[in-house]
Amino acid sequence: MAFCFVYVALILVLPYEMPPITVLLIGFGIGIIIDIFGDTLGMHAASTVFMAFLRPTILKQLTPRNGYGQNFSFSIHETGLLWFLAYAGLLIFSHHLVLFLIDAAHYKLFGQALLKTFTSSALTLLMVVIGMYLFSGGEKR
Amino acid sequence: MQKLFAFIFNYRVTFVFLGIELFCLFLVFSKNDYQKTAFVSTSSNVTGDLVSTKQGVTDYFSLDEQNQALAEENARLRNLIIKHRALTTIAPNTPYSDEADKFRVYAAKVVKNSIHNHNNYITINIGSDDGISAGMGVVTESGVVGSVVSCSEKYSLVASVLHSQTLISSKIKRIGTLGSIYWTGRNSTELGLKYIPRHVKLQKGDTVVTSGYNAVYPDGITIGIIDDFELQDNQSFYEIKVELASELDKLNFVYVVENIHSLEQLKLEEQIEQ
Repeated sequence: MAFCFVYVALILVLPYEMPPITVLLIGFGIGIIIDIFGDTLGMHAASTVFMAFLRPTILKQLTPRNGYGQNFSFSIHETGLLWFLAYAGLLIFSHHLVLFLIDAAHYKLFGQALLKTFTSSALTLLMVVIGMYLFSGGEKR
Repeated sequence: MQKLFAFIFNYRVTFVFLGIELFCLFLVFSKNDYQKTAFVSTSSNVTGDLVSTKQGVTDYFSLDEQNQALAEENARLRNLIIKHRALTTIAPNTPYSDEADKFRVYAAKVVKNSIHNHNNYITINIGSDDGISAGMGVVTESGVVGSVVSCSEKYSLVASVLHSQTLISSKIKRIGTLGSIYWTGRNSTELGLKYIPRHVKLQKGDTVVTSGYNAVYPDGITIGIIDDFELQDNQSFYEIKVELASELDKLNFVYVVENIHSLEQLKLEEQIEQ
């Protein structure tokens, strides 16, 4: 079974220059809204904040050969598909891992949580990439 | 001192992160379910209105099934009326049953439902204005659904049986042996039954019903059917898998059951424990 949490894409595409603390706060805001409507208070907020925290580190690790340059934006046209898959894949995986581990903490069903993490990460990544193609198609320069 | 400030400033992102993360984990693991759910959840009036509007739209897609279910329910109730009449005309002065007077039933509509988390909640469209309060049981015509944990004026939040803290006093209908129902957390149809001693002879397909020893549910409401059981050599109790009778993924209408004497019963039981 796999679950899809496309809302994480909102954190993925925040501007590169945005200060990390702002990203953390936005992550918390998005997470808590998801939680309030899903009756899962704290779970999505915790995992989205964790992902927002990892974002600068992963961006640093994945720096392209000539840096990010002026006017860098997270569209697949600009970054290339492979780079985007690596960037989004790592962050989505970290988000889902925290989410399902917290969820499973009540039952110690960690094996099942890991399995769900892998399948759901793949599904969310696929949906995010499709979404990126759909909604940023017109911005070719 | 200056070094300390420099240190805090250098790692400010990490500190902010740790602060927010600890706050979130506190929200997740704080034990007080009742306060938490009353604080922010789909049973608050604002979010309740939003999800019920959304449910109002999606309801149209399952009208056929709902009609079918309601028609069947109607038929069943009509049958009951007929039986009841027959009973009262034969012996007009005998009370129909104690149980019937002890419980009051409210019909409610489900506006939000979840089955995929480890603590699942259902939101229904009646609340304290309609006389609902925390602790009442929730059932459908096919079986047990859960119990109310918190109410706003117009909505109530129900902890479904698919909840890590579920524990329902129950019995095996055929032989009357008492046990406790809990959720195994594996999937949305599998419950567990514990405290059935090893001398009891079980059969696959035995029905498990509520025992009526709890103050929440009436006696004899179906919970599920024994799917599989196992007896380890060194254990004194069976490990039993029970298949849930009510289809929680297809809930539309539920009944909230109020035990009029529940306060009295609880007070008495507390006295004994002291």
